[in-house]
Amino acid sequence: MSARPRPRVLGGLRDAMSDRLGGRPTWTASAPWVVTGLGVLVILMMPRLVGSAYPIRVLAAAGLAVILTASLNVVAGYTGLLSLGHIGFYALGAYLYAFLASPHFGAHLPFPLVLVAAAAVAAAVGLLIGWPSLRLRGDYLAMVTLAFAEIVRNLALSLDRPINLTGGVNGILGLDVPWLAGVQIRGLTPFYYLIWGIALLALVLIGRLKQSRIGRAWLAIREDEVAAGSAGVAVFRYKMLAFAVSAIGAAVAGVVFAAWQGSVFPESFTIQQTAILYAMLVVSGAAGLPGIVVGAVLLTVLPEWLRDYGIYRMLVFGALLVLVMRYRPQGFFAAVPRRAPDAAAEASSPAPAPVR
Amino acid sequence: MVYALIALGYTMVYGILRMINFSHGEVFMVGGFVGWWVISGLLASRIGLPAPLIIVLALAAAIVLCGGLGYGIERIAYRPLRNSRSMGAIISGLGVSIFLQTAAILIFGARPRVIETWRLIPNGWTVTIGSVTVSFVRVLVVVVAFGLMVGLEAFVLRTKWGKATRATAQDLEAATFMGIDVDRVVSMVYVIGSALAGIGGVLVGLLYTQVDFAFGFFIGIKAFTAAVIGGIGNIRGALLGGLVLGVAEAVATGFLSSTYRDVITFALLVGVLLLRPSGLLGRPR
Repeated sequence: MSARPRPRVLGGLRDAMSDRLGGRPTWTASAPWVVTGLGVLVILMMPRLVGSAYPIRVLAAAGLAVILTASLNVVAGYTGLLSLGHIGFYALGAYLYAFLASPHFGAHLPFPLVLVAAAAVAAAVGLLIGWPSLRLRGDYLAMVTLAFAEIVRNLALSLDRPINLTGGVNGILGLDVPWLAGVQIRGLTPFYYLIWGIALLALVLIGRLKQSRIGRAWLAIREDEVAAGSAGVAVFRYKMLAFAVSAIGAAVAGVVFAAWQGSVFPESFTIQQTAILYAMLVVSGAAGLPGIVVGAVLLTVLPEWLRDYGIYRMLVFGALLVLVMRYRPQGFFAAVPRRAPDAAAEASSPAPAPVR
Repeated sequence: MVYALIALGYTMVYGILRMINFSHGEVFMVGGFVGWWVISGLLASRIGLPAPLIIVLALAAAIVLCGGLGYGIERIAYRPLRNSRSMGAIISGLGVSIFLQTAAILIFGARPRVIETWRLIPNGWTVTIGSVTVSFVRVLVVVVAFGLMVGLEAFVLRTKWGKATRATAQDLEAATFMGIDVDRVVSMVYVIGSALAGIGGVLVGLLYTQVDFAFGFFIGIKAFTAAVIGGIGNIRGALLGGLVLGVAEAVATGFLSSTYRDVITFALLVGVLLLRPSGLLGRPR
């Protein structure tokens, strides 16, 4: 919202947009609804357009990544908190489904009920972890959440003795086939639609949240915690809320993942996965929720293409993470870094107009 | 005490830049591999160097290589991001960490490499203090960690460079105005921190008799926890935190089972953050 006069290049429209975004227009802002509508259409048509199963499977995985990344964005993007434990909540959801809907313990709760239960448990655990760590500097949160994710995975790995709770390395197999609204969800295509249905719902919900009073509070905290606090935002409470919302998203994705795979293993939930989620966020940059879809799909499909290169893929990935942070800290699709242009303008213009 | 050694490196970097160095554990891992390479190379080579000399050579190689690596990491991954929001540097560090782990798999393979400690320090060598008998390697780790702590503290408190370091830690911008070459101070801190990690890698490799690519990550997390428990940014705190964490884990393993060891670590971290957020020896900010 800078009041500094900008050169009129393309007339008022561009100016209006650049003012709204505090920079030059990004590609998503140029045609948001057309792009979004087309995107949704393509996603929904995909199983009809593509004959073979493999691309659909990859895209379904991308849908899960969308849910995970969008919910991570609530904490990391909107509120500006560094949570490295997202995959822990994902594991929590997956294992809850395995506990509550499989022959492992003989419990066979219906799928929607497990979804709700997982959301509740994840929110509770999220609050429990957030309570000590969200009061402190952001870096501590990173450490506590990282430890949390590793501990969830460790418990999953080692709680097969003395009582077999998690199945250890062997995981839990033979999970129930879910029913939703009287329809049995079996096979790839139904799951594809279920996953993308939830993903789109999550995107809409999170998008609405961002527009709301809550979302504005989150953004205010991200920009300046102290200023937000003195403007009357209950900083701690809104941080907790962001944390809980993101935990719920991850747990829901976990439940769906477990139901889709029909099994859970500890090795699906490594810290590398969290890093990949962050990479997705980084790629999507400040381009908002449509950007997240692009980032998640891109980074799910790309490694599949590169699968032949095996381990080199991770080498490139790590290097890429460093390079992107260095040269495009706001992401690939954000046309300009958010703060740099103002500084550059100040440096170049001889007498910056002190309009506020 | 193993943790204390690595916690020193974390504390150095955090104390100055208020930033978690996520690639620290991987530098430590590289130190372990350097140690393996030097030790097994010299043992195989029939030159017949005396054992202490081999260990010293391994340590020297690790200090040089890890120090250089730390310098490189700082230049490439951290310095360009120093003024951006903290998340950028952390993600960048995560990238470095993934890169180094993958590189280690490519170079050394995924299976652990064995360090033949017993050919340097016979298993029978123990030190008995009162009723407690400890292996010689452990004593070595403790002595080195303590020595490094004393050395570091003397460096930070007594030397001109140490003074510049403290000034930078207090206020980076003001330090620049006072004519301190902040870039060089930060580089130096990374080099020292990474050299410490290298020493740690060699010693822990000797202690565990093996190294693998994932070796740095866990110990890194634990060491950071130790640094936080002791009061991050505080050199003595790092040592105390490492000690507390080590004892707590040993007790947990003894009385419960090793399964719960990591849970204990986590609980300890949360407890300290709740009751004394600035750590046991940290001053509240």
